[in-house]
Amino acid sequence: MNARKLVLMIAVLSLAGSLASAGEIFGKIVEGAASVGEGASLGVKCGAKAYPAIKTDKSGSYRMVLAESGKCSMTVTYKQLSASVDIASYDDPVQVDLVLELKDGKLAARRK
Amino acid sequence: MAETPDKPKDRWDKLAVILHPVGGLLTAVAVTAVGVMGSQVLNRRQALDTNARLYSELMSKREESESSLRKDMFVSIIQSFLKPGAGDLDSKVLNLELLAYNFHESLNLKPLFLDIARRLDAPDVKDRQAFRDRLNRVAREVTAKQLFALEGHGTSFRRTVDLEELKSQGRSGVALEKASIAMADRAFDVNLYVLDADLAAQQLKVRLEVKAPESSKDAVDTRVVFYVGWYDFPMIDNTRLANGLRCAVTLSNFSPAMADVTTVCFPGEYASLKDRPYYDEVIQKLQDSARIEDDSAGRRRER
Repeated sequence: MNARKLVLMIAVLSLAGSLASAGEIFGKIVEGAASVGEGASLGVKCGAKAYPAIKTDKSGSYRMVLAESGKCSMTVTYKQLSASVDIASYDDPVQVDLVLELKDGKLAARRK
Repeated sequence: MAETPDKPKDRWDKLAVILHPVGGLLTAVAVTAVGVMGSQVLNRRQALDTNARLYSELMSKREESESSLRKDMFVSIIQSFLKPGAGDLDSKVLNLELLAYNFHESLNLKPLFLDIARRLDAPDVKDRQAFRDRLNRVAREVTAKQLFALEGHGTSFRRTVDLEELKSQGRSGVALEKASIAMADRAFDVNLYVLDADLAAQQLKVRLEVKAPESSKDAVDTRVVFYVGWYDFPMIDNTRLANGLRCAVTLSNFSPAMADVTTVCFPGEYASLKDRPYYDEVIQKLQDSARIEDDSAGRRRER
């Protein structure tokens, strides 16, 4: 087996390994006590990989499947403002409910 | 004495002649109607009472037979753990699964989980990881079920612990973001500090601090240190607060770098079946309900 094939095999195996440990992130976003409905979108960045933004559904809930586990950053966009929170992705599903607060024209997000 | 000549009968006299016997008849009809209606009401009430009695008898018989079935099941399963050397690991894990799924609201199963986890550490155990996965799966399912039930009556919040940051902080630990909780006319702040992490056992040493805000008259001020692992179930393993509420911390996810914990605070009556309320809690509850009744009566009078 030449070196090129070996490198390719290692790359395929490591990719398969990271996909096997894919984690699901789900939750609900509220502003104060009221659901944001379909008005929010959120994107996740884990290391160098950024996941495309998804929209919340009518109840303000969302669900995302990430290929990586580890530290990630979630950015919520609501009423044309953005806020970020640090989250963690695991092999098992993790619930991340967020509370948004609009204050002085700024958006703040915190975990519920 | 001379007889007075017959006075001609007017309209009222004629009416009186007709109504005199009719009055008696109407009285008889009224008495009969009242009697019939009264007996109908009594019959209906009796039928309702009989139905209610029958229903409660059926329910209590069902409860009795279910309790006896559960007792037999419990005795036969628990014996497999108490007899020294009885059964192999597979049957012990299966029995624990049976116990956990059927009795998780009434028993603290942590000692049994830990006992089997210790047995799995023995050097000659085959399929060790498969057994561990089964134990952890059942524990996580039970925790999730209990959390789901408690979140319906209480308030919860989730936090992520960065275990690398915890390691760098040493013994001072990591403070997680505070949560302000308002429940049952009471408000309090819940602070959680993670003091240590045991990566091998997958458990965290945490300090839970529950305090009433400074403006509040409430006397809640609780501080407690404990370990949180997969086998700590919130209905069973929780902290009593001074106001009849409970708070439980559970482990939701664990990896070598991060861990997620869920804290749920809920009214004491939703704790496990084995838990009894303190007398002062019962008295406090009675006083509260009397006060609420007085307040609502006062408001009605004002209207």
